[in-house]
Amino acid sequence: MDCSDFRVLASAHLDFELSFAKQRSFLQHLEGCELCARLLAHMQKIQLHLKQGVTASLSPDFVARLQERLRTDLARRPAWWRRLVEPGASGLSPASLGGLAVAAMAVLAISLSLFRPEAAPLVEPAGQSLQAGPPFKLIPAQPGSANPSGVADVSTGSDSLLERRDPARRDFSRQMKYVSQVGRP
Amino acid sequence: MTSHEYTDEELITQFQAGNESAYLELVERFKNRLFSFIYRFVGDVDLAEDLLQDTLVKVYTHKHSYREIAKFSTWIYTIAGNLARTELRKRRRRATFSMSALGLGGRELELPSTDHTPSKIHEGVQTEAAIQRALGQLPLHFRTVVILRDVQELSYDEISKIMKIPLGTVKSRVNRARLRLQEILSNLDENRRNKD
Repeated sequence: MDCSDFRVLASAHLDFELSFAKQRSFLQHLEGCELCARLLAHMQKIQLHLKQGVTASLSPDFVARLQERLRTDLARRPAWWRRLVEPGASGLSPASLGGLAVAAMAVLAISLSLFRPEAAPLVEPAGQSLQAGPPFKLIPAQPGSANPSGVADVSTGSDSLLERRDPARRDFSRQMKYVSQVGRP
Repeated sequence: MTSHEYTDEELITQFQAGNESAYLELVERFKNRLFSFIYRFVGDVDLAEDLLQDTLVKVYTHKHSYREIAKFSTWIYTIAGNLARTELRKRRRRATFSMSALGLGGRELELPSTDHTPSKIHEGVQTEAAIQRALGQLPLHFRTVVILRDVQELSYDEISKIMKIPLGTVKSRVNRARLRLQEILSNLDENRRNKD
């Protein structure tokens, strides 16, 4: 065993966790190496000191202050919350809380499915071509109007819910429709 | 049957069922151990007391989070350790935390003694300050394991559960932490000798 092996096993020796064979080899090295002997002695002294505990102590009124804090903290919480955590109150059991959580998730899922916005179609539905009549009409840009870019405004046509909520998405969608129409032969 | 005959796990079960005196018994059982754990961690008495209070309030308000699959001590040490680590990180970010602020600057390293004469008591205080100072210089993951193992004397298995790391990692980390602590204290001692 060399000094680096000794350092790896030092802690296990302090915790009485070395096997008989390793312990013997550890002690053999210890007898012949003054540096490792000093290292181990120092580690033992530090460990002993850590175990002796701290001289600092808790304030004598610690528990009273804790109880006071619990009272004020709980008083600030809403009544339904207090019913959940206060001992002696008709609190809900963990099983009931689990049931409530499942019910809440079910309500959320139903709400999402009912109010899910209609997604804009990625491709134009078959049969709905320009030959069948444009879904919107083009209005030439007026100088000084709110649309000076020259890009045609769209006054008709149905925007999806998402597009109505998000102006950027709506404008982009309209421009793409315009480009696709203009680009056709 | 007195409350001393109940295990910690039985007491928290009673508290979950609404028995507040079971909570107070748990507070009595753990307050000093946890205070010493947190104090060793943060090195400041007032902060340690505040964090201990936060821990015990959390036990009160989150009592239903405890499940009997783990030891109660593992659960409460996890709460205290997390709060202490979070606080230390916050302080480090604010750059207001320094060992000099703890009033430990310039203390000397002395070895522990069982002699209780005034001079020896003074030396003991200095040693404690030096140890505390050295602990403060350890990285958090080393500090945590060395405090749990050497101050709280918890088993490797329990430390593994508290820190959520494998048993082998706990053992190697404890070894490296002890060696690092020894190295820091040797340097402090050497500095003191050079000053003398």
